[in-house]
Amino acid sequence: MIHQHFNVEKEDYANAGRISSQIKQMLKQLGVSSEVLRRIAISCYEAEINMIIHSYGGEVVLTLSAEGKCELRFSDMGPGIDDIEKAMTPGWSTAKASAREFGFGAGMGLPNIKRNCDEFDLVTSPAGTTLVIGFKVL
Amino acid sequence: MKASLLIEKYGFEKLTEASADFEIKHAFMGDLLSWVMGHAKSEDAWITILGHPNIIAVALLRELSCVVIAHGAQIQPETIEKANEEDFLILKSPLSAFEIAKILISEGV
Ligand SMILES: Nc1ncnc2c1ncn2[C@@H]1O[C@H](COP(=O)(O)OP(=O)(O)O)[C@@H](O)[C@H]1O
Ligand SMILES: [Mg+2]
Repeated sequence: MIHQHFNVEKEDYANAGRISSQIKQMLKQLGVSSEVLRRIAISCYEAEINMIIHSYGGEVVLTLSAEGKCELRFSDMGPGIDDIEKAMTPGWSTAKASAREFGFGAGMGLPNIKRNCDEFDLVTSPAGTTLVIGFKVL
Repeated sequence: MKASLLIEKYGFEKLTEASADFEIKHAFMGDLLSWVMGHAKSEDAWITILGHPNIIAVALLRELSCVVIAHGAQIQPETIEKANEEDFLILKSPLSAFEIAKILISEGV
């Protein structure tokens, strides 16, 4: 069983994707197949970016169970998602102009995550958003 | 086609130290990171106008073969630095993404 925490800073564009890279590297060394790695990398990157561009910051927790399940928990400190249904709609985005300049804000993040993970659970309130995604890795 | 042919025959600028001695088999064009994340294939050459360091994170996560900056778009020094750390190839050309795609196609990609 592996359990690891990573901190995510609000608007830390310079380090965007760093956590996803570390997680991917780690899982690769553990022998996770490239097909599953690809899905985890896509989902993890999108969720990490969402915390950076939309939230006040938070943490990512990776749990790898002995049964071969990888769980990624992204929890932030707000401001929450107003309307989950809209947020899940491909193309819908509230990203600021500053984020769009960097190529973020396509509104495809949550749909990409949903499509690529095996389990998806999104809970949100103004106090924070928690996204838990699961993958069968072994 | 070999990536190095873009430099030797078509005058693309090589911005990083990584080797260009590999085959480009397929490519992806796009300037929205989520589209690239979601739709690019492993080992695609990625044609884009984005020059922010985040393109390297995306390229590595999706195991793309190289980035080709179109339209002579600006690229940040940090992006080149990061690519060099990761031994990743970035090329640059004043041509449009479409013109670059035409070259790739004419060379059998
Ligand atoms: N962690 C989060 N905190 C607050 N809002 C979020 C968060 N994640 C997503 N959202 C909201 O959901 C919308 C859709 O997210 P997504 O599909 O990833 O597209 P994008 O990030 O490109 O805007 C975002 O524009 C934002 O309004
Ligand atoms: Mg997003």
